[in-house]
This record gives sequence, C-alpha cells and structure tokens, in this order.
Amino acid sequence: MRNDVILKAKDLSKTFSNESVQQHVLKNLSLEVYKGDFTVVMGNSGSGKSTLLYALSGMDRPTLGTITYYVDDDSKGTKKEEGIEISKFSNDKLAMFRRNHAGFVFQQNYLNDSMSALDNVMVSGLLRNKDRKALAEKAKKLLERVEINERDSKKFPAQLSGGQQQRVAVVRGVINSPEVLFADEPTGALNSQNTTNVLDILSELNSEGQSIVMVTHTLKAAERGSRIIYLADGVISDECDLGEYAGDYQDDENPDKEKARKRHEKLKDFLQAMGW
Amino acid sequence: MDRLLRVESLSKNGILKDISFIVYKGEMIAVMGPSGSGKSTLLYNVSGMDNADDGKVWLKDTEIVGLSEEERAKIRLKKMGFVFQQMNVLSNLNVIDNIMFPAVYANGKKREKQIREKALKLMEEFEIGDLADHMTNEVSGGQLQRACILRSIMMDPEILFADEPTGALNQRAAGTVIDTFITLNKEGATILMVTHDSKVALKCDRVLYILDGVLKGELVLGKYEHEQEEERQKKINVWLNSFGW
Amino acid sequence: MYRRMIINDLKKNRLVSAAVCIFMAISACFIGLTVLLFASLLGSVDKLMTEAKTCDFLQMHSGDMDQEELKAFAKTREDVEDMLVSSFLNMDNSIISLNGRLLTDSTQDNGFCVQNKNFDYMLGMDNEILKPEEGTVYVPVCYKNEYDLEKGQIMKVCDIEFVIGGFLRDSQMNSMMASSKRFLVNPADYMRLEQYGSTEYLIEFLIKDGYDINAFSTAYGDAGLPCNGPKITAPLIRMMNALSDGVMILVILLVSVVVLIISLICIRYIVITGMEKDRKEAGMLKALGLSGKDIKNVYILKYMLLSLAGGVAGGGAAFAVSGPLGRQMRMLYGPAGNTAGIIMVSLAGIVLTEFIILCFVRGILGKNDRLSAVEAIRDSGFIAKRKTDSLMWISVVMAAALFLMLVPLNLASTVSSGKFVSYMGVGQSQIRMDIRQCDDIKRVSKDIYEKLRRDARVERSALMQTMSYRASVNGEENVELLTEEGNHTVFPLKFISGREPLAEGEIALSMLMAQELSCDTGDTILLYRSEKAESYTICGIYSDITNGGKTAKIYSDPLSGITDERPDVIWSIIYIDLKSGEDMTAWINEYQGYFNEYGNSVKIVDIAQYMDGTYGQTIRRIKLAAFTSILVSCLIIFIVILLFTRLKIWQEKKDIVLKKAIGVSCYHIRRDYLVQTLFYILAGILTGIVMGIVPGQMLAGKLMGMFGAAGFRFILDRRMVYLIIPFISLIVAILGVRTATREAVTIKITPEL
Repeated sequence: MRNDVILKAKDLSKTFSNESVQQHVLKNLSLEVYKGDFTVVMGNSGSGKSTLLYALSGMDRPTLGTITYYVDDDSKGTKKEEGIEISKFSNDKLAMFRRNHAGFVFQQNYLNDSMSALDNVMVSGLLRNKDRKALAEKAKKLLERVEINERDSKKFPAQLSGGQQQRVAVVRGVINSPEVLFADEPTGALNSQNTTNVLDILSELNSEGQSIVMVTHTLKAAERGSRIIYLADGVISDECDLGEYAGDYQDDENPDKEKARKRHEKLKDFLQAMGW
Repeated sequence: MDRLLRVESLSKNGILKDISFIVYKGEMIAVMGPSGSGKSTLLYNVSGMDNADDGKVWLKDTEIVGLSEEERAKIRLKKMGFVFQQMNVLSNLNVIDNIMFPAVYANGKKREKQIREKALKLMEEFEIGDLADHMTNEVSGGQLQRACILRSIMMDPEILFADEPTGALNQRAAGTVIDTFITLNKEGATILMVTHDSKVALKCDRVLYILDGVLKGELVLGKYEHEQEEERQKKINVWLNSFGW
Repeated sequence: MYRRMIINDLKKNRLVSAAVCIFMAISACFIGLTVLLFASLLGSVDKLMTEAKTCDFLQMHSGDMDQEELKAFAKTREDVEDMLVSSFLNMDNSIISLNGRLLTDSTQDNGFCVQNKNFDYMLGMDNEILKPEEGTVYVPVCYKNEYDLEKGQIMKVCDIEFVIGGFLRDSQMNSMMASSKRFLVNPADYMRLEQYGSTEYLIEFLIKDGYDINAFSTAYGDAGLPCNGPKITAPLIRMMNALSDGVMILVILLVSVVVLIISLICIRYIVITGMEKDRKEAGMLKALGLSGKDIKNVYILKYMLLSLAGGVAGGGAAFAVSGPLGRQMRMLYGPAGNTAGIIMVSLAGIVLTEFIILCFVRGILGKNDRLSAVEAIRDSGFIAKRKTDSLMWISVVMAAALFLMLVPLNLASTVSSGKFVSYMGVGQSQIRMDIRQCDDIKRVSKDIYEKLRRDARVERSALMQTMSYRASVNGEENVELLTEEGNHTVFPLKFISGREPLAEGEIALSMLMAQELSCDTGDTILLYRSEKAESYTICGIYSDITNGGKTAKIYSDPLSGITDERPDVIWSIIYIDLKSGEDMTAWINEYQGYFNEYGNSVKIVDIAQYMDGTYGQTIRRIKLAAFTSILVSCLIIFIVILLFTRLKIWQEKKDIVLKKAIGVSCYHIRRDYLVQTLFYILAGILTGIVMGIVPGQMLAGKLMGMFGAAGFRFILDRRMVYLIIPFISLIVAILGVRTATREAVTIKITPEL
C-alpha cells in the first residue's frame, strides 16, 4: 500500500432489497484513494457511482466489505497508520465521523431556505469549531474567495443564483477542512458559466492540497480530475491517470494549451474505450 | 411537409431567450444542451404546462401561449403526450390502469372496455403485455418507461414530448426505450425529445442545441438508418464539439 | 442563528404552525381549567370548613337521648377537644314555602336550627357567624338560585311567616349530596316552630390534632351511645362537598382528555408531514455530520416555541373562563383562600400538559433516526407510512362531531316534547288546574270538578288529590308516601311494569320510591290512610321525576273517595281534555274568571305553558348547550377536515403534478378529492347519527334515571336529526375540503418532476 493512502475500500458490496427484488449495485469492489488526488468516478447510469460515493463517505453502510480511513482522529487518539474502519459504525457514529473528516457537495445544494448563505456555512462549521468569531472570519474569507461578497452572504438562498448557491454549498463543504471532500455531480444543475466557476473552485482547492472524490457524467468536469475511475455494473472497469497533464484549465488563458488538449484527448479516448 | 409545431420568439424569465423553430409532422427532434441550458423549460413552455413570458407557439392552427390554464390543459390531454425522466406514474394504480388513465379521464367510464382493449394491444405490441396487472413498483425501470410511452400515445396525440426519457435508465433499458420511440416515429408519430445522450440524438431527424437559453444551432441528420449509425455518430460529435460540449 | 431559522420556518408554514399552536392552546385551556376549578373548589371547601369549624365526627340521632351520658363519655376521652349536641327540627316539606313556592318538590329533609356556640357555625356570605333576629330566617345558599330568592322575601311555615334575612353556608350540609338542609332562626322562633316538626339530634365532636378520627368513631360505636341515625366524619363531609360540584369538573376533565387526545392525533399528523417536507434538508444536515439527536433538537425548538405560545394563550383563556364557571362554586362555598397556591397548581397543570405534548412530539421526531443520511436524501426513504390514515380520521371526527351535536339536541327535543309528561308520572292532557294552599281544598276541588263535569265542552277530566300517608314497608315504619288518589284510567300513563291501581287495596309506586323501599310489583305494604293500617299490594311501577321522584298512586273515586276522615289533601290537580274544535285559550280565560274568588289558590294552565314554566329554564339551558355544541362541532369539522385534506394534498403532490401535466383540469382534480373524501364523510355522519341515538340514549337514560325517569327514550325531532344536522355537517365538511383543495390549483408543474 502506498503511504499516501487516505481512504481504502476492500471487497465493497452494496445490495438494495425491495420486498422481493434484490439489486446488486456494488460487487466486491476494492479501491484506494490517495491524499491530494482529485479522484473522479464515472460510469453509465445505474453503474453504482453514487452508491460508491455514499459508501466511501460514510453516508451509507455497505452490505459487505470494509472502508478504512487513514487519518488522525484526535477524539480517539487514533494515529493515521492504524486506520479507522467505518463500515460497521452506527448512524450516530457515522455522523460524528462525517462531521470531522468528510465534506459534501451535492448536485442539489440542499441549502436551508430559512437561513442566510453565511448561516448555512456557519451551521456546518459550528459542528466542529466552537469559536464563533474565528469561524465567521474563516467563512467570510472563503465566501469571498468564491466571489460571494459580504452583502450576498447575508441573503437567503432563494435570492441567489444557482451558481452562487452551489458555490456557497462548496464553502459549506470545506469549512471544516475535511480530509476528503465528496462531490456528487456538483455541476449537474448548472449552466456552462457556473459550471466553469464551480469547477475552478474545486481545482483551486485541490491544488492547495484538498483531496476530492467526485462523481460526474460530464467530460468537462471529469477533465479536472487527476485520476479517473470508470465503473460499470458495480465493478471498476478501468482507471485513467491524468496527473501528468495537470495544469491550468481555462482554455482561453491557458498558456499551455497543448497540455489541456492532450489531457482532453486522453480522457476522451479512455472514455470511448469504456463505452461511454 | 406539414408544419405541426411552430415556436416563435419564445422567452421565459431569462431561462429562454427568443427561441424560434419549427417541427414538421412525422419528425423526431432531439433537443440537446448542457445542464441548466433551459432544455426542459423549453419543453414545458412549448407544451403549455408553463406559461411563457413572451412569444407564441402554434400547434397546427391553435396558438397556445395566449390560452387559459384550463384550455391548455384540454389541449395537452387530447393532442399531446408526455414522457418524463422520472417515469412518473400514479402509484396507487397498476400498470395498465396507468396507461389507460388519460383516455379514461377524457372519455369517462363509458368506453373503458374499448380503452382497455387498446391498451392491452399496445402492451402486447411493445412486449410488456404480461405486466398489465402488476403494480408499478413491481416492474423494472425500462418496462415502466415503456408503459409511460404507451400512456402518452393512448389518445393518438399530434405530438409526443419526452424529457430525458432515458436519463434514469441503464444502458440496456435505455436501448429498448429508444427503440420504442423509433418504432413509433416510423409509424408516423411526431416526437420532440430532450436528451443529453448523443447516442440517442443521433437517431433523430434533427438536433437542436440550446446553450444558456439560446438556440445555438441545428443539425439535420435525416431519417435514421441502422447502417448510418457510425457516420451519424461522428457527425453529431463534431457538431457538439463545436459548441464546447 | 437557529432562532432565525425557526422564525422563518414558522413564517413559511403559517397555517400548519398556527394549527399546532391552537391545539396546544386548547389542550392547555381545558386541562388548566379543570385543575384551576378543582383547586379552587378544594380551596373553597377547605376555607369554609376551617372558618365554620366543622366537626370531625357527627352522629345523627332521633329519639330519646341522655346528654349526661355523652358528656361523661367525652370526659373519658383524651382525643376529644370539644363536643356539642345540636337540635334539628325536621319539617314536612309540604308545609314550608319559600317566596310562595312550596318545598314539596325538594328532595332534601328541610329543617330548622339555631346557631351553635362552640363550633359547627352557620356562616353568612362573608363567612361571618350569623345571629338571626326574631322573625328572620337564613336560607341555605343552594336554594337562592333554585327558588329565585332575595333578601326580604317571605318564608312560611304553616302560618308563621319569616323574613329572609340572608343566605347561609352550612359547611356540613352544603353539598346537595347531604340529604338535609338547615335553616337558621332565632332561638325564640325555634321554640315556636317546635310543634310543627320532629326533633332530631346532631351529636358532634371535635377531635384534637394528631388523633385518629376513625378510632374515635369506633370507640363511640362501642360505647353504646345514641346512634339512631347516620354518622359521618369530616373527611367524608369534605369529599361530599367537593364531589357535588366536582361532577361538573369531572365532565370538564373528560372533555379535556378527549381534547388532548384529538390534539395529539392532529399534531402527530402535522409533525410527520412536516418532517416529510424537510426530509431532504434533514438529510443534508445529517450528511454534514449532525446526528439524529442533534436534528431532533433543532426541530424541537420550534415546537417548544409553539407550546410556549399555546400554553400562555390557553392558560389565559382558562383563567378567564374560570371566573364565570366558578361563580356557582364560590357562592356555595365562599372564596378560596390561598389564591397563590391555586394559581401555582394551575400553572403546573398547564406546564405539564405542554410537557406531555412536547414529549409526544419528540417521540415522533425520533422517527427521523430510522433513516440514514442517504435514505433521507434519496426518494426511497419515507417517514410517513399509511396513506388512508387521514381519510379514516375524517370519518372518526365526523362521527364524534355528530354525536356531540345530537345528544344535547335529542335531550332538548325530548324534554320539550309533549310526550315528556309520561316521565312525570302523569298522562297526557291539554289543560291542568292546580289547587293549592287554600282553605278546605277538598271542598273546593269537589266543586270545581262537578262544574267541569257539567260543562259540555269538556271531553274528559280527572281529579287527582295528593296526600301524605304514613306507610310501613318490610318492617320499616314511618315511611312518608306522597300519594296521589284518583281515577288513573282517564289519562293513562306508561308503566314500566304492571299497571295502574284500579281498585282499593292496590298501589303503584314510582321507580325511585320502589328502589328506596326495595320492593317490587306484587309486594305488600301497610298504608295508614286512617288510624288503622291497611294492606296494599303493589300493582305497578312508573316513571316520575317530580317531587324528588318518590311518589305513589292509589285508586279512589274522586267525588266520594276523599272524606273528612282522611288526612288533609296537600294539593289537588285536575287534568282536562276539551272536545276537538274548542277554543282552548278562550275556555281557560273563562274559567280563570270563575276562580278569581279563590285568589291565588287555583291556577289553570295549558300543559305547554305548564311545561315551559316548570322546565323552561332547564330546557333553555339544554338548548343553549345544544346550540353551542353545534357551533363548536362545526368548527371542529371544518378545521380538522381542512387540515387533513391539505396534508393529503401535500403527500400526493407528485401525482397531482403528473395529472396536471397530462391535462387533467384543476376542476377535476379538486372534484376527485371531494368525491374521495365524501364517502368517508358520509360514513362518519351515518355512524355519528347512529351513535347519537343509540349510545347517546343510553347515556342520557342513565342521567335521567338518576332523577327518576325510567326507561328513558329519546323523542327525536326527526327533521333535525335526520335532515338538518347531517345536512349542515355535510356542508361544513365539503366547505373544508373545497377550501383545502384550493391549494391544489396553485401547484406548478416544474422540471422537478
């Protein structure tokens, strides 16, 4: 095992039972996620991408298999090397775990309509950080980074555009500096401009060291990844490493257009080979 | 060719900007574009389910945008069919009752027997005949979606609208659903379908591309022949790429 | 910050939040009222008994008694603090009249006494110790409203007149459950009255603190001291005092419990639907890392706020309403001391109610824990399970509402119906003449009766004369029987068992009388119509709610049967039916003219007027209750149906959107809801009607049985019961559904399908 493994799934299986019908969504899947990677999970509808994401992130328990995080957990005094295995955790324990180690961004931002944008971020932050003042500072800074100014931060989600809402959701996801940020089709409901904005933020965060695991079905988003994992029928079909082509992504201002083009090609070929 | 649907300068709330196009009788049109581009909104406005801010829509000779809620409902019932991504059905009815629903509603109890016969016949034709009495949660996604398609044609509508009909289905199911549409189209149905799947779009006569509420372009592919598949795929890919797809 | 979230949430869901708050308020109001009234009652009773220095032990005794014996006994006991023997002059009710009205209807043993010296004081309305002057009498306060009395009016005992100097509170006999009532007079007056009544003794003891009253009671019994009568101890007195008004409080308590249950049901529905609405948001919160408990706490804050508002509103209402409701109580027992304590207890009751509701809500919110974060976000997880629940509850509520409306209504229609007289121990007639309180009633009655027999316009008439005979039953002597003599076949009344007396030697008893004497048809009793005892066989049992429900009937020929040898007639009644076509009003006016010579002694009324005069007050009260009940029930129907239908619509939002997309018109969508719900509404109405008649009758029957009406049956106002009330309920229910479905119209078809 590489020494920068941050999350490891082994023999992961997830079956959904609906009265008489049984659906095997994940079948004996094993996977390692590395620190600092922008891991992208792709696959056709019904391949189990989202299910894999929810299992990895502790949102749901797998039917079989183990999921181990290699992170420091101060509350337990666990050191990285030991690993924390979460597949059997109770709902409450998982909640606790997610609070401390995982951040989320969904396709639908699920912001609370009754709170301002800033408050939405604060709610998440307060789970880990009791220092209100410091937290507010951090939140405001992060919001500024994603171009939500002070005035907008006090507005309710309904008063913000779809793109702005999603950017707030991203901030909410990272306010607690989680070891891993999980994103499920984060740009799915956005138009092209907003998609670019959100992806830029994710890329920026990743370049600063944030590990990201993202499920997507658009090429544009997948391109941002350093490692593409392709799922088909509940198992990993293949992987594609884009790390060598990492760099600036904005087509117009990209000084190294060649890199971008090559990355685009490699990904396209890979996906075509996968039958996407 | 007969003009079936004419859309003129349709605008809605910043989501649709001045869109105009025509659908001819017997065509199968795909509407593509990135998420959030307004494709679905276009569908809902063209069909009268939503009320556009500006512009006009003619179904044959009837202008829809200016009509009242109740009048548009009547037109939807008698002249339009709908298939949605989420395979929306009435959960407390079984499969065949769902298929029969719009027809029964429109005609009352009197002709229920005939309607049932028609529904059963259609179900047999499209190979879901033995699912008639199942409850909707007992059948697979693909089967359910096919049932929804049958529901949409029970009233012999002038035009069929489909919003990402394969979006929630796996490869195989998606395939059968698309085949169903193609069969119907061959039998003369006019279909306007929103999709993000280029493999679906390539089977259509024409493809429209919507980006940020604006109709960016149109690709004419002509009637689908199986042999042309690869060629059409290439053509559509190039065309899509030009939009940054 | 959570505060802002909650306030915004409340603003968004105004109707539903208001509904929850209202239910919380109503529950708080009813329970608070119950506690408040009960605490006040107990407080009042306590204060009264303290200030009146009620005795700890009371032994009633009639017959000879040796006071020295008692004093000696008291001296030997170390637990006796004080002792007294009080005289109670028991009077025949028929010789007492209050403001012109005879006390014959009274169920109590009414008598006179003088103020005691050391304890057991009769207190005035300011709880002062009364000292009546000569010629003045103080009347037990419970009679004030019953006989419509005021200071200064006249009380007559035979020919002796007293002026009512005021009203008294008798800590020992205040309760209507105590079967005696004491009137307070000056000692001189007491002596003058002695010849008219029979003396009973009240032997009373005060026991020192810390000593067991029951031990004393046993000791007294063992000592062979005078005990010809019932005995009672202070705790029992207290209980009787509390119970009499306690019945009303019990009723309010019962209603409170029902209200609380209904509230909990509705709140449960609202909370679950609310949770379903917020499911995805809650799922997001879970994803963020909030545990199920954390999320519960966030939501419970909202409900705590609502329960605070509800508790305050409900509590305020309870305090406001308790004023008028407690008036009767305060009049009987005086003001309660310790107001602060009472308020505290009431507040505690209100707080407890809200606490119960909140715990209940918390339990419901716990359902959230079932779902993992993923299930909450996805569509697969559902909190609410059954969908036909709401429809069933609508049926239940309709049935309950109909029941609440119909029972008082049926009671009112029964009592105000002409046929009701059959419960009054008398047959149906058009007109009645009352002859009372005049010299030589026997002669006057005979004269009038003969005149009637000569009047061609009279179809039939019957002269009934009532006297009080001593009787001996099953070895028990000296039972007073209020007996009506005459020909009972002219205006026959319904018998529960047996038949009316047709000849000498036969006697019929009212139900309560028969119960009291523990005898039945076929038994014999000894009747003293003259000095000699005559054996009478019981030939039948009938319903009678007049005169305390305890009466008897024997046969005698009206003209020849009543001779001077017999005891005095107390009163006479002549029942009359005119020939059809006769003008009743004119006839009555004419005869009224003839009777002017007799002054006030002869009254003639048509039965309708009579019933109204006697029961008018009661009937009006019942009708008011019925009317109020109808209003409240309609309100309940409207609110509950509106609520449940709205919730149902929200649950079925997806289906509604699909239908709209397909082209189903709003009109049809709304109509479908109406049709769906209509079945359950009608089922509920039907059930309610049946319940209002069958179990309702049983309930009313039990109540009326206590007053002597046997075999009570509703006399239904058919139009109201089968037509008008169901129709009104239906309209209100439909209104509720229609109002609720208006929202269905506004649901938009959006790409979120």
